[in-house]
Amino acid sequence: MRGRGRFLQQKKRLLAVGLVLFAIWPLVQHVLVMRYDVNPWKLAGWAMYCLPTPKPRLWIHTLGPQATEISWETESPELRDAVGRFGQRLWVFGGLAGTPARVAEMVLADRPEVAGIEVTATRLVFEPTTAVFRTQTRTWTFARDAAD
Amino acid sequence: MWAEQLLSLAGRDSEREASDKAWLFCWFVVFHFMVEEWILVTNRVPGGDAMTIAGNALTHPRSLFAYTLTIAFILACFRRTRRLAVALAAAVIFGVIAFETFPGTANHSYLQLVILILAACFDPEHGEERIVLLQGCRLVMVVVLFYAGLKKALFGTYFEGQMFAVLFAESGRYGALRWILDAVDVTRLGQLGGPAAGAGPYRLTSPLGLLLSNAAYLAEIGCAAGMVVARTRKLAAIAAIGMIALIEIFAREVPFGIFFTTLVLLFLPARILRGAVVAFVLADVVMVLTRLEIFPWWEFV
Repeated sequence: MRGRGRFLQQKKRLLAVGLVLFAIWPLVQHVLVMRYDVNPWKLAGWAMYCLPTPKPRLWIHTLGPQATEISWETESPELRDAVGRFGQRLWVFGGLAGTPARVAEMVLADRPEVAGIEVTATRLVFEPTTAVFRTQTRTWTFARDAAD
Repeated sequence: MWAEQLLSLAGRDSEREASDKAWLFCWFVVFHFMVEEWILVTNRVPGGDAMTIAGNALTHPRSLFAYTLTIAFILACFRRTRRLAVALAAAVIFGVIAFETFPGTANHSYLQLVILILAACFDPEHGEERIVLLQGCRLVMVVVLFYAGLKKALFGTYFEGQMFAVLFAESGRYGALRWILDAVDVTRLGQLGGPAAGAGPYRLTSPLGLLLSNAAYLAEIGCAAGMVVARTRKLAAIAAIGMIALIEIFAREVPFGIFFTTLVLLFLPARILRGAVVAFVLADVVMVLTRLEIFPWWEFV
């Protein structure tokens, strides 16, 4: 009984520490949202319904004098999956999502004639003070030599 | 001891009250999560008659999680295996997060996981442990409620009803918001439509809309704060339940509303939790029958 009592005291302390961390984390998440455009609706920040956060849209273009758009939606399931995964990461992690290097690798492997590609992500950002949506664009360029 | 002081912010049940609440709470959350998971499975299958939907759901790849939660629910019906049931349910929710939804996991899944982990760590059949379990669950809920309100204020999207305006303009799902908007807002926002570059301004002029928009975050913060003060605890809990009910009229996220209300009910006497659980079980059954298209369809998730 005494052993159980001591064990329970330890569990209470652990619970209390856990509760403190649980209470601090949303502040950390808020800093990540403000600095890195992390999605406020995600990662247990409890900021659902606080800021409209539409999903980003992604485009892929070849580099060079005759740049063309690659309709990734009609490409292979593997590429569609890779683009979808990167888009999901971008939507949740914002500036912490990394780069679409995997997407670039797959496109360049499928198109040996292409010197490089450019991946563009656009997302709508809501400005509470003006109550208007504006566009935010991010671009990643992958040249074949660097990608290889 | 500082841990005791922290936990005491959530009040402390008598042994009798804790005994009545803890097992019922554990049983119900496992039941509710099982129902929710089956509803999620049925959302992924084509429509049709009840037998077709049920048959497709029972054989859908995603149903593995639902079957495991069903096993957990069966275990939860027996006192000896209730804690195992909760642990199994926690493993399922973790599996859903880890293998299916992350990083796009909805926050309510994290809340489910935290509550289940708590219930697995503290024995609902042991006197002092179940008191601590209930304290922990209440404090988790208070933290979530507080931040739900604080974040609305920090982003500033409720001072002029901006968030309500966007929700109303972009989706018919929040059409009930028209009850709190005047004709000018309804027309203007209807013309604005959903998010687009340069679109706006998404703000309200309706007095009732502005009032409720600002009341939303004030009520969340106020109720959370009230629940950690002994004198205002019960009143704050009742107010929070009323607020959740009002929110659900517009948001219609009924499964989450039921779960969160159950957490708030832990602040109230066990007899109230018992009555509410009966109502919630019936609501869950209705949701399943609605999803099987036996009852008329309505959006509730």
